[in-house]
Amino acid sequence: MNGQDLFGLYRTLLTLVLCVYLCIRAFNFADQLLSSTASAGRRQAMAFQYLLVQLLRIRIRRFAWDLLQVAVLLVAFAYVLSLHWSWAPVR
Amino acid sequence: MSKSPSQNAPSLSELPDDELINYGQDLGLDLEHGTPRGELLRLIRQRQELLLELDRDALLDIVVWGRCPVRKSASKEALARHISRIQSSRFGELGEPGLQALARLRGISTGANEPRANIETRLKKADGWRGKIRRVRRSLMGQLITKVVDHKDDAEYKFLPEAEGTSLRETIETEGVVGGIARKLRGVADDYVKDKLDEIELRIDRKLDEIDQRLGEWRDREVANRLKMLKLTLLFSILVALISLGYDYALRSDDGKSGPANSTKVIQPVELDDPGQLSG
Repeated sequence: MNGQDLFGLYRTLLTLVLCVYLCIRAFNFADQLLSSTASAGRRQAMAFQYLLVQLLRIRIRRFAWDLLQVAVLLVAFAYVLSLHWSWAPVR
Repeated sequence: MSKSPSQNAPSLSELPDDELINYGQDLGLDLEHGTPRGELLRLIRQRQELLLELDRDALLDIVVWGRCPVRKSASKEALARHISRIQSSRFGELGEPGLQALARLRGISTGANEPRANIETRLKKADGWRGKIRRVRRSLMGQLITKVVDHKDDAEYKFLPEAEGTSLRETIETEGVVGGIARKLRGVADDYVKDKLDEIELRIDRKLDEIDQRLGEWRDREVANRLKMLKLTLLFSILVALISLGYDYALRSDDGKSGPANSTKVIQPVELDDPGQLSG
């Protein structure tokens, strides 16, 4: 394995590719949102405002159980990631 | 303009379920979404028959007691609509026929000679404990607010003025036969159109509410789906992270075996024959 850590290389590449993909998608989404709100007519603006109101009317309590599960999974993920530092191989 | 229930019957069966439910609720029925259509029609027709049976004066008594703004010529259905919204429980001010009619409209069967106090108790019981709590809460709030704002509302009840202005005779006297009849007909047509427009507006409002409700349900389903996807992604990420961790652990233990501790060569002591060799 000396000098030929394929899994390590795969892991690094995957992280890099996913981060780039995430940045591109986030930028694309923000750009679409800005352009659609800037050039929206009256009807589109009203629809957008209605959508915003609909989003504000979401009752968090209804999704409390799902959100709790997501929070627990995030904590578990963070813990597993932190273990990588303590279990990292001695180089 | 008001139709009799028998005239309403064909159009009633043509109404969609949600309109039927709204119509039934307007008449004071406690209907829920999901009730079978046949059952809805049966309950509404039963209510229409009950309205036919009830005395109009008794219904007017209830409306006056509840201080609902109605015309004296209002139809029984219109009166029933107003009565369904009355929440007062001060039955002491309501006349005997009115009390009997109110009990029947709220689904309480009363005997002809049943004591008044008994009917009042049953009406209050029919409200349930929530209604009782609401009554007490509102009563307390009312007492508090009237202490601050001294408002006396003891004015005698008055019906709304009738829509008809002048009589046909007066109109003909002032505008002639053709003009008077035409004006009267136009007035009736205007009233009809106004009623229909109000009805259409109400229907549009209900439809908009329904669309809003459906969009809300769709939004909730969408959020729930997104959360589900997020959970699955997180689970998969944790799984991959665990595999990666296992790989790190394996690599570390492998490094430990083939590391410096094992690869160090043991230096054997060399026996020197001649100590002078070192200095040389």
